[in-house]
Amino acid sequence: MCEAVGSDDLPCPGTGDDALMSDDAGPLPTAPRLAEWVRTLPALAADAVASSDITKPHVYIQVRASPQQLGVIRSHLNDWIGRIGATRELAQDMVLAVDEAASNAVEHAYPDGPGTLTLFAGCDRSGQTTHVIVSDTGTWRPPPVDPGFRGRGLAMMGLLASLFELCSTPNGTTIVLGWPVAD
Amino acid sequence: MDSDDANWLQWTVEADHFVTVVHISGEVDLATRMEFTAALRRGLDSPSRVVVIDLTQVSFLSSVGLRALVLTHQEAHRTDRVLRVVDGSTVVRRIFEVTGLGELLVLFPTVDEATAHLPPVVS
Repeated sequence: MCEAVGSDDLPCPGTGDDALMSDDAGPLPTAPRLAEWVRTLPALAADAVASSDITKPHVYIQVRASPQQLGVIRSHLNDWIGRIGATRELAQDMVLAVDEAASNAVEHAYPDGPGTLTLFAGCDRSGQTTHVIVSDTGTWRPPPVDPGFRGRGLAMMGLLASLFELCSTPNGTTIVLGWPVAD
Repeated sequence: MDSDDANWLQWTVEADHFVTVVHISGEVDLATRMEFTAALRRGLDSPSRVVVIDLTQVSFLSSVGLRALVLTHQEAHRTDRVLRVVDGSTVVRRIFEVTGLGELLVLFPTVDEATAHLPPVVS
């Protein structure tokens, strides 16, 4: 169920920059990079990206996994949410859940040094469902038996999103969040 | 702190003998949690019996902010103080609702309501 598709350990381009790429202008410049990233993802996340319509507003960015980038991630997400016309209630839940996903990567994925995290957000071709994917290439450590507040962050994602899957492989951790788009 | 930065947090304190109000504005996340904890600590360091944490101008609060609030609530309880939280913005209200912490913390819609009905001073 939770299996990595492909085992290529792809280098993240330009890891020295905080905001490495931010491109939702159209399919042509994004598509090859996106395809390369998708090959590193577990099946559920790869399917979610494959079903997304990248001719429509979407987000695909890589940032340094640092606390200072969380505001940047929320800002990109809020811009996108504004463009897809989500309700304010849905927007709040999306931003809260995605911040928890990204915070988890920032806090736990790279205990030994710097790393990057990737954010993708898009609507599927039917226009019915949105998916947000947060992935890192670090090491997942399961929460302790009494998960405390880290567990609360994970539980929050489950409560805030209609779909919440966390998948960890030796290549990194991927979180898939999904919401139906309100009529 | 530069308010043009994506991650920023500012706070001010109003205090008298009966009540201390810590007004906080900005976003509470992993980047600003130390500053948030410092603001809550300043509230607890006051001699007032009632400490009000005013989140009216907080536009975002993640689980790290909740953790700090719960720890502050517990410490206030241990030291016979009353912690009241003003949960102005809808995103802050939403996180309290989702986590159920709105039942643990004592929430008020406005600072005026949080500072009304102060408990009697125990001599």
